[in-house]
Formats: sequence, structure tokens, C-alpha cells
Amino acid sequence: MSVTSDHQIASPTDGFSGPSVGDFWALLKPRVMSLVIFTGFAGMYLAPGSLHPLVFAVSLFAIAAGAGASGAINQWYDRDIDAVMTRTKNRPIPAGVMIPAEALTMGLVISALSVLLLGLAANWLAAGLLAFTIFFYAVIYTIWLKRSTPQNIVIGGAAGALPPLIGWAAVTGGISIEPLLLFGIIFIWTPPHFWALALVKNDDYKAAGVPMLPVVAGHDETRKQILIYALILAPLAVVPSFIGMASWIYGGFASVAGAIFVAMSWRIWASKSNVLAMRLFAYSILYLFLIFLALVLDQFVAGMVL
Amino acid sequence: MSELDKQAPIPKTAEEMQRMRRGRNLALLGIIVGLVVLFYVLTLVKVGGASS
Repeated sequence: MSVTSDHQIASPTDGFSGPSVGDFWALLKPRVMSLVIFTGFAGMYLAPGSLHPLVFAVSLFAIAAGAGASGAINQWYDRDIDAVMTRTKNRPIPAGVMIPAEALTMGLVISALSVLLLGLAANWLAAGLLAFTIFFYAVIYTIWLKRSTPQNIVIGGAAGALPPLIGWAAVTGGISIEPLLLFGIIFIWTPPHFWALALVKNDDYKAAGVPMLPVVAGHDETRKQILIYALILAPLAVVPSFIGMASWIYGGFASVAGAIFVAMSWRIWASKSNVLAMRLFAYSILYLFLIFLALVLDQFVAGMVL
Repeated sequence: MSELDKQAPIPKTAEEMQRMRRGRNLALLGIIVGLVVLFYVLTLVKVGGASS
């Protein structure tokens, strides 16, 4: 599915002033990167064992750089649909300040460098997971799933869920149930997070020809799916308390935060309206941030007490 | 790739082109120097950790 023929990307010659350093920065999707840094940090912090502070910082930097690189490749490939959507039309390529090849080159170079850096700083399991994450986001999600199925963000969500697993692997050199649980929490969180946005931005996605769930299955079905995922997510985020990964204080906090998530999803579903969808989208970001912060603080306090 | 994709950006003036190029080159220089320092210090830490 392509919309390139119908919608022109702004010509780089129209008042062209060239890509600034800020444009290259925007190509890395800094807001997405900040969440990756945070969840990656949580994975590293919660993992048993320790790293030299510099190795820790460099590993986290490499994970963030890898996430940024996949964002650049994403913006290279999605330039046609980005030009159509109001949310993305000011990105450097559709805005006409950067030629696509520059974005692709930057994405590929930083991808290779970040994987190499993580391999040298931490270990090659973590580096391999980072390479897989970049491949999964850039190729499996962006190039394949995004334009072909309403399950795009469900399956593609795996890429966004991998950073804590990479962080854990960087510290321990292995994978266990705990980081898989962190992966699961982000994986289940992703669909309701994006579908809440898709409900509001439905016209954008429809115009761009992206088969998001509200476009393909309708708003009622999307609101139902958001509620189903919220009902799975809320108890899942409490599981760390049951496997000795976090205290019951964390469990209590996650229960309350999850109950709010479910309540908001329920209201959106019951009201048959999208008025609260943007609020749920905003809350979902806060929710994930708070869950991971609570896990980190819980471990920090446990370390102080013992 | 469309025709547009192959089209190179054309800056307005020669001065502007120079300024843009200079800014990007300086940023690239900073990144390369930063990476050199990073790999150097990282090597020191890894080698130091291995020998201790």
C-alpha cells in the first residue's frame, strides 16, 4: 500500500535551508528514545550483578542509540505516510529539509555502531538482542506489518518491549523469567496505548492508508480490545510481587495503577465515545513510567534495608 | 524511489551552504572524537577489570 503518488513530500528546494543538527536529532525520535532509556535502565538496574559505572552508562547509551537508529530507518521508509498525517508531517523528510538517503544512511550507520558498542562494552548476547530489536522494528514492523495488518502494533510492540531484556542481558549475560515479565508488561501495554491514540487520530491513519484497528474493525471493536488488553495488563504488572522480584508494596501500587487503567478503558468502552481516549493515551505513558519507576525504587529500598 | 528522493537539496546561497556544511562537519567531528575517547576509556576499563 502506497500513498506516495497522491501526496507529495514538500520539495527540498522550496525555501530549503538544509537539515540542521536538530533535524538529525528529531530523526532519532527522542521521545521514544527517552522511554527506551528508562525501561532499558530498569532492566539493567533490576538485574542481579553489577557493571562498572562506565560500562553501565555506555551500554545504556548503545541501547538508546540503537532505538534512535531504528527510528531514523522508520522515518526513511514511512516518509510517504508521514507526509499525509498531521502528527508527522513536520518530520524532517516530509517537511522537505532532509533527503531520504541521509536518514537511511544515518540509521544504518548508528545501528551498526550501537550493536558494536554494546557488544564490546557488555556482551554479544545483549548486542545480538539489540540487532534483533532494530531489525524487528525497521523491517518486520515498519516495512511489513504496519501497512498490512491491524495487528501491526500488537506484533510490532515486541520491538518496544525488548529494551529491558537487552539491559538485563547486558548485566547478566543471560535471560530469565524476570526480564521476560518486563517484556510481557510492555508488550501487553503497547496495543491499548496506541489504539487510544488511533481512536483520536483515526482520520489521519485512514488518509494515510495505515490499517490501524479503528480503521479496519471500527471504533467499538477497538474500544473493546483496549479494555481486554487493560484487563490482562493490570494483573500482569502485579506478578513481580508473586515471583520475588518486588515487594508487596510494589504489588499494591501496581494494583491501584492498573485499576485506574482498567477503569479508564472501561469508561471509554461503556461510553461508546472517544472523548476520554486521549486521556487514556496520556495516562498509559504515565502508567508505564510509574510501574518501572516503582520496580526500580522497590529494589533500591530493598537494597538499603538489607 | 521517486524523482524527488534522488533530488539533492539546493541551498539558497553559497554562504548558507558553507554555514550548513560547517555546522554538520563540526557535529560529525564532535561525534567522532567522542567515539574515539569512549572506545579508549572503555578499553582501559575492560583491560583494567580483566587484570585486577
